[in-house]
Amino acid sequence: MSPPPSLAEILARARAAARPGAPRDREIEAAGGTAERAAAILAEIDETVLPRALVFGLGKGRELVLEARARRALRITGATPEAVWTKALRDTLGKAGETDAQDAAALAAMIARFAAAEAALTVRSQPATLPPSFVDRGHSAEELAALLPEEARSKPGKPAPAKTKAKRADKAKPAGPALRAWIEACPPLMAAAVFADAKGKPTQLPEADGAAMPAADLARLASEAAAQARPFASAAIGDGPLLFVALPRAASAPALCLGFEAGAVAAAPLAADELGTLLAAWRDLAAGGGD
Amino acid sequence: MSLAAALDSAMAQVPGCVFAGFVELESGLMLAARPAGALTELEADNLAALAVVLYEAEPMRRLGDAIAGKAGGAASSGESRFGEALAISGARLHLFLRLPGQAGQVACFVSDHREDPAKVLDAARAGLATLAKAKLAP
Repeated sequence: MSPPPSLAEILARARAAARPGAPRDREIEAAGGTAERAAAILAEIDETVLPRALVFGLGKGRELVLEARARRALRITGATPEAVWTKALRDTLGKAGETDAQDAAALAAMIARFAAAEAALTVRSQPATLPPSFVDRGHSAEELAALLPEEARSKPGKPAPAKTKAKRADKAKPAGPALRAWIEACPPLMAAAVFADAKGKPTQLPEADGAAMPAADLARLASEAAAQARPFASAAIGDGPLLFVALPRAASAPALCLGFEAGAVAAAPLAADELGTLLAAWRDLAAGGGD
Repeated sequence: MSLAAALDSAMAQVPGCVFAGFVELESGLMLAARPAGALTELEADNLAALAVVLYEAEPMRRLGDAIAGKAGGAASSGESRFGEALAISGARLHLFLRLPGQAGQVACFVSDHREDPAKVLDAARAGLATLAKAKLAP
């Protein structure tokens, strides 16, 4: 009798089974011209944290495959039709020895060239095919936006978010107990909580700031964490107020309470014996005012 | 016990549980999910990505270091200090728990939030050892 498979074998099989699944295309609203479509592509790169192959489609038969991770574009691995490529771009992209600046300029030029066609833009996110590289950091959407040719440039700085995302944010309505009420219901948590806006600017800091890290820095960091988690949380859980409690591996260490609701962010350390109080407060508030 | 059977068994123990899955942090993929069809592929994908952000993202690591510093904890070696995470929304309770002895694997449970969250968390913890030992059926 053969021995049962190890967990590593199980994972390898499950991974193989999970990868062939073909995710459906998602349409991106990018009404306008080349600049709007290029901005929408950059917005997708900016929202890609995990290694992914982003397959952009533009009308029939026009496709651009771009590998991205950590909100950075690594390289273009395919484009159809062949006419989308120029010899100069093909000579530069993905070749060893090119400088970072040459690579970024070629990527931006390719995105602009692809976005020039008038058609509905779609995107499909697939598992990345390139091996992870700690040498190739890739290029941020901001960096690429600055390198776009004039006709594909909307405005300097951060790329405009895709329209669909903006609409979703506008429609976000509180569902269940609001973040502040939640935290206020747990007095020890409230005493140490920092509140910030979506850009990390503190809107309320604790009166006695005895933290190793200044509370303002904590607020900025909480905003960064929320910005990374929000797109996935919003898609998987919903747009309402959301509270994360991250519990430490070491029983003696404090937990982290991180919440966000629309544009507001809150963060606070939480002692192990306060967790029950927080959860009970949340349950009571949810029962009284939640959906 | 097969992985699917272990997930089913864990689900049965967790009050109000409507979904159980298994996330590999390195690839960010939901490798197993029960029951089939409880979440769409996109929802499961986003849930897996959320787990990766909670455990692996640099700001979360630094937040862990910052609050541990306040409590007098030593600086981390770059690995996340967090072992479990709860996402509490107006609708449901989402739990993420690292498998014992396998820091890169996370079990994920989605439960009706109207159950007692502490009870849900305890029940999910109780099923982890079985999940960690699970084998695929021959």
